[in-house]
Amino acid sequence: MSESGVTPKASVGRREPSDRSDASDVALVHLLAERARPVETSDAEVAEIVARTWARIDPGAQPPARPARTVSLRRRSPGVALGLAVAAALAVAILHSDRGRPPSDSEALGEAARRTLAAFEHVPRPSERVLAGEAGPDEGGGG
Amino acid sequence: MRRRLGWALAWGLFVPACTSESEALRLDVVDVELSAVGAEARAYVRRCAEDLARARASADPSEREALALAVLERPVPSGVEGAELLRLEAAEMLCETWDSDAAGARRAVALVGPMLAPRRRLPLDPISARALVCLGDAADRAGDTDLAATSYLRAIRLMQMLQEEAMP
Repeated sequence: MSESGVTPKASVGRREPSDRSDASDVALVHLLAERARPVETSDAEVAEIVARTWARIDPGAQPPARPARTVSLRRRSPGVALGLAVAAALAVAILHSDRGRPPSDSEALGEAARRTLAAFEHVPRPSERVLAGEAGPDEGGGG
Repeated sequence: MRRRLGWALAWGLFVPACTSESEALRLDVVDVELSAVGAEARAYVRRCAEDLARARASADPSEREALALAVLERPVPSGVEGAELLRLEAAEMLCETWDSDAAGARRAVALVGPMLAPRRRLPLDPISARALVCLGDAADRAGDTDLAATSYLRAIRLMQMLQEEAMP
């Protein structure tokens, strides 16, 4: 699972594809990179195509990590964008209100964050995933 | 004239304020998963995971602290991808362990704050949200309510992204 990174656009295309299957592979990598979506680790086929394509583009190099993404309001749906904009405006208002404000501002935000975090309580921590064999050295990798 | 001057002054104060705050609320994320290629890399990941499991099971705060610090101090060998996930888990554990008084909270902010700074890319994983909430708690206890508020808001935004990722 480790080596299934999406090839960044800057790296793709250093060599021209040599045949039709190469072209479709590269097109797929372009598509994945364009959509900036993570490759599902369970999707071995896509991971293999990406790894194979990368090996052809730059033999001997390690496949790169997945591309970084910067959160942008433009990428969110209108509802979420509006919600984030309201949250940001609220933050600006809170952080720039007078210094004599009651200390409950950050407490209220903390309470909201902890409530939201409760929805992720069932998700194992990284070390738990390693020890359960879901991530890290016991799966994929090789070497 | 006086009215125009008032508007200009208000605008001049408002714009820089908004700009600096949007920087404090910035959230860059990266999709990364934990993996290890090579014996040394596998040993590193396995050892960190075992240390963290022992720390989580320990009732002794000093033992938890020592184990979590060991994870943070251990050099990351080549071949490990996503080591930041384990390091953030260790940071969150330290934050929780230290956050019992104001002095401990200040230590936690000093240690964990730079790891979660707005200029850094955070793994798109619940552990980043947990660490941000923990940083917010420590900052709140240490008296830095601005850092607390921005940490909580960044945590909420990151969790929104995780929920969006989970949606088909």
